[in-house]
Amino acid sequence: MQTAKDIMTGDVVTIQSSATVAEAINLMTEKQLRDLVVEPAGDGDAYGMLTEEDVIYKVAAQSKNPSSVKVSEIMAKPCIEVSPDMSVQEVAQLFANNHIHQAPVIKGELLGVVSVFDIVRETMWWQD
Amino acid sequence: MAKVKDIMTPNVLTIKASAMVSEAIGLMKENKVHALIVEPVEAEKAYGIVTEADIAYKVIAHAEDPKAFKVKDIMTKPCISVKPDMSVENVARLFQNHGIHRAPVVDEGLQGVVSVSDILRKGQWW
Repeated sequence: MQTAKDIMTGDVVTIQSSATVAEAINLMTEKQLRDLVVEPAGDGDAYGMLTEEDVIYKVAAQSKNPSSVKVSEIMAKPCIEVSPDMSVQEVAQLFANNHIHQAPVIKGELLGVVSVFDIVRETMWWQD
Repeated sequence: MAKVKDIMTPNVLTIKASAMVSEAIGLMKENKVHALIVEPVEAEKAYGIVTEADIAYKVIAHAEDPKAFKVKDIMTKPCISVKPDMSVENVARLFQNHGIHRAPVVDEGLQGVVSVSDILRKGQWW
């Protein structure tokens, strides 16, 4: 059975919680990403997650200007984390139970991001 | 103010409700899309949608075989659809209110699909 580390995207783009949402939109557009990992503010602080839906639901739907909203105001932090050794099925179950589409893969440090996209596209177990 | 028709993706991939989930996965992978629109069975009937999340939550999470399920077992139908003239802000509100990420654009037939990605990248609501 494949695990989170087999299907995750290792090339993660991060942002600071103090950045503006406008900066986040530029970064997501430029890198064609649907989410950004928010870096911990210091030792012992948690990782956060900023997704497209956060921006659309909490900024666009509220008619707010993204330049005047900070990432810290709309991110999920602490966010749900995935361990690299978790099976793909467990990741899918975790996502279903918590209604999330992506989570950072963390073991001591940030290793990647896993999304429903990776789960559906990279999973091969039924083809064995 | 931008409208749905300005930001939507006009080329829509559709699938039949009777297709297997494994076929849906193949189509999504091949075309790099996150969802497929399910065609109405007859004219004037509702559209449906099947997304990556449906497949991950309802099939993979239970370690089920995608060849054992049909699209109709996991799709949302009727799904929320939008009109091409709806403003970007109203689409954002509709998506927020219903916790959805994308919707077919319908006006005398299927015109496209609009998603949170389209709003984020092309919406220019500010």
